[in-house]
Amino acid sequence: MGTGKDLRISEFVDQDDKRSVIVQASQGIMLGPSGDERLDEALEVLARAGVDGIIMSRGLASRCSRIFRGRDSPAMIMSLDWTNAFRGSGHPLPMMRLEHLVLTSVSDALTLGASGVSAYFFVGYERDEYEARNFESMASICRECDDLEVPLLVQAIPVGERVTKENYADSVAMASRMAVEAGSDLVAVPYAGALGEMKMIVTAAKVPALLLDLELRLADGQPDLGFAKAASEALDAGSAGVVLGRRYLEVGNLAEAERLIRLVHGG
Amino acid sequence: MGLGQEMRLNRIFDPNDGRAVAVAADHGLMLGPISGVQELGKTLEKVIEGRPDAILLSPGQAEDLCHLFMGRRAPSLLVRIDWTNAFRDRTYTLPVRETFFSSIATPRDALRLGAHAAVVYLFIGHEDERQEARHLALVSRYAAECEEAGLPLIVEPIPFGPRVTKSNYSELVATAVRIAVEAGANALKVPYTGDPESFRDVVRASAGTPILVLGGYRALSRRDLLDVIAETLGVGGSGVVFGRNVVQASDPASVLRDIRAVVHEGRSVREVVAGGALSKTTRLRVYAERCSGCQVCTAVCSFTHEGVHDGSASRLRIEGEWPGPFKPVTCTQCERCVAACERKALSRSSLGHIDWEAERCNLCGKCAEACPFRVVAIHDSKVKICDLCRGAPECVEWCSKNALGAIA
Repeated sequence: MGTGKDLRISEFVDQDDKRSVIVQASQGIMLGPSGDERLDEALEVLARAGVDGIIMSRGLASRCSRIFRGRDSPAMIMSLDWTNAFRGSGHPLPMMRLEHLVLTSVSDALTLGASGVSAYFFVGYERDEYEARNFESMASICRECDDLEVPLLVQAIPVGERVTKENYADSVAMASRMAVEAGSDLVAVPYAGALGEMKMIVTAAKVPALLLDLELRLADGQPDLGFAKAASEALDAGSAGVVLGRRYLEVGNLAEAERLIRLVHGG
Repeated sequence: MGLGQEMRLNRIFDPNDGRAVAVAADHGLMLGPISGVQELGKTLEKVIEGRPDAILLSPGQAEDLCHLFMGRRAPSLLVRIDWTNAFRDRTYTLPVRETFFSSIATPRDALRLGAHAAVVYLFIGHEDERQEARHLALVSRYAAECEEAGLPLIVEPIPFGPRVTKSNYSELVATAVRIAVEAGANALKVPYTGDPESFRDVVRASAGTPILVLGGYRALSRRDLLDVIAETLGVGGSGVVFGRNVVQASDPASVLRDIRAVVHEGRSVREVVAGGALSKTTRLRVYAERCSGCQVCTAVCSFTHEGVHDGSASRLRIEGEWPGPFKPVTCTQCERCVAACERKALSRSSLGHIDWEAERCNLCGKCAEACPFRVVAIHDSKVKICDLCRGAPECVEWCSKNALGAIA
């Protein structure tokens, strides 16, 4: 790994414990606004509480640049892509067919001040062609990241009818390992059901693996477990931290987010 | 300025005060392995203990010493992307015959290395004006490329060459600064013009672009170095980029701690010097037989504490009529005033001087009545009392006859 990547990763992975708490604040581009959301305020609270990185879409980054001032503030990680995967039954336009699209180049993200970039990789598409396209776009992001020395976090997620309770953990492991072999520097994976399975996934990943907070049950097989419990199990399994979802940006959940930061980093 | 430039600049300048303490350690690129940069990694480890906000390196050293910049507590990385032979004067190997400058990396290269800003020179004062034109063209190109890459550009505008004289120097610094700003600099690394008045003109020329003052090759004493910083901050400077005065110091971390105290903690040079290398003054000592009655001590005392030359505002006085004998009368820290104060507005500090707390004081005047030497008084709704200048008394420093001394 080259020097620029090392430096930029160190802006959002703590150098003492090699762990990271990242907040995903880019859901608006996929889902629209959420009801109880005061983004600026929430991000400021989380920044003070010691969040390491915040995933932003390019449009919001400039509006929230205050949060990133100073070397001890969180790093900005730019979300490069879009998907309708997270539009569940409660959304006005529930997903009918999974779509995924790259919107922003790594070069643009770097120009806008990002310390890293984030992209989705889904497995379980109805048609294999879509998985191939998603993999191709992710691999091309990997190459651009190598060229520009920008670290890439791939969120590897099994989704769709082909994913079952039985193959869920293996699907997570496969998706994250594929992302790593394509050149991802970190992966984020959903909880896969049990300590043994998380261990298998984390070991297979080879790079820092973060537990992804997926609010929606994307597959029938995915267990519905409190995220704090899942996070604590994932850390025991060797995971390098967590990616907090949109619910932790709601005012009522900020205290829980702070507890999770302490869970990951201690203290 | 683009978002990326703004975000990266905000990791160099402290968002709380908009100031920065940076260290230049790129000398090897221009001068070879001068003292302090021979084993740069080892030197920088010591430098980083002093918590600089940023360190300037050549691209090669940046790649080599990447590990020193990892983590959110580490300094930001500045990378020099140009080169010149201009500084190889007679004291160095192969003194320069003709001045050249070159580009050695692009802003994109610096960004790949993880830099938070690129640094380049801009010289004005060449005998051949085509040189200045060429240099400005180079800086303008850097500015465009930096903007496109989202990397801040720090320009170092320096008057250089045979047309630079002592009398036009300050004006040329201001001119070079303005040219750099208009060419697209996001911050500046500027030589000191020697006095705050002319530096104020330089700050004005920068039109709001932050200015970091550089130390130059002169080895300054700790006090001189801090004075330069305080003077530039006082007229609107934003901090420092010091090189040899830090990397060649025996204890770089302690130099940086003192610089940080002045730049980021708002402490006066006097305080910093007193708390640092000098021993702590606990009492004044009077040698009355040496006193010439010149009144410099009372003038400097009133000026230091009240900003005016008014003997009645002074914390000490001279007794006696011309031609003498004279006797300086100073506070002896006898603490009678402390005992007389019913509201505990006066107390003895750990440095030995008497501290006055305005919030507790009702200006009753009992302290002044209790003072056997009549050096405590109420003046302008304040209790005027000797604070030993918080450890480094100005009266002692200014007395040319050594009639006043400090006992540690």
